Amino acid sequence: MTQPTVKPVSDGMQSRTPLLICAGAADAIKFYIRAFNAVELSRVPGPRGKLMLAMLWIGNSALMLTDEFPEWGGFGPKSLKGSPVTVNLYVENADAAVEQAVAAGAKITVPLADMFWGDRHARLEDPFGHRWSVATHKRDSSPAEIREAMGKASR
Amino acid sequence: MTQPAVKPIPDGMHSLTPLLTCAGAADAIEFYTKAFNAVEVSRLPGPKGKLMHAMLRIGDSALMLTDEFPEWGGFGPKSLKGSPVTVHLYVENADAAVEQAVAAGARITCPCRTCSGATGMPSWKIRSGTAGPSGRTCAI
Repeated sequence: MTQPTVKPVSDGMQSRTPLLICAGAADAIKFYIRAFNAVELSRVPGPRGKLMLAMLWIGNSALMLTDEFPEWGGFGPKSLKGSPVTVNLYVENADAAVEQAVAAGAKITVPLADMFWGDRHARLEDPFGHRWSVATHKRDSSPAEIREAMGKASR
Repeated sequence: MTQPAVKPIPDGMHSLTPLLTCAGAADAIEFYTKAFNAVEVSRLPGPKGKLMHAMLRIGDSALMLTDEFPEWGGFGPKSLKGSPVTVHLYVENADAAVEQAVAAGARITCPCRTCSGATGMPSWKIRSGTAGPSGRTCAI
């Protein structure tokens, strides 16, 4: 008898998926559902009521969460006092998406505006300290046009 | 005359795309190219020889990079002494991918092993944490 074929990359998974460490991952699931219409797919409980892993979907993408596990070097952005990663969320309507996220408890760090690279774009920090950009593409530009527009924007 | 329609989510972009802050983003592009077969799509130069933005593709996915800009609160993992985000990379052959990443300069933080079902994902999954020279944690 042969084993059933297993796909080395699971259906629906993209090549790369962000895994966010959140102090209070169960609360983070609730927040991402309210803020970004995330759908919870699975959660793997860990020790002391923490979550080892949770898998969510936002739009066509997976998002993984885990609780802080300091004993394994796993710290969230609040503990590290920042994050080197911003997760960009592309949506059909950035205005509505930002409004929804703010109503759910996100904080605006860069207000929504039409940016020189052609996106309507805002930056947010969520209650767990993770950084997001929310964007809708408005205008196609060549790299040369983007460089020129950046020059004008920074003058 | 009507404007040509612009897609609100550009072709090839997923709902979620990580943007990594790297001290030395140009070096990071080289590293990700060697380590993970990334393909450079574009780079946008910024002040002081830094990169404002770079767009790479790894497999079917986009990955964005930017240099550190402390004046705008943009710090990489080495400055923050850690990262609260792990980028999970799914590949056809994790053993080969880890070997390639290590040859390019990644450091293994959690040895290659099969996490059978422990993640709730039904597939064969080999996960290995590696930290690149830029201090980023990746899982393969």
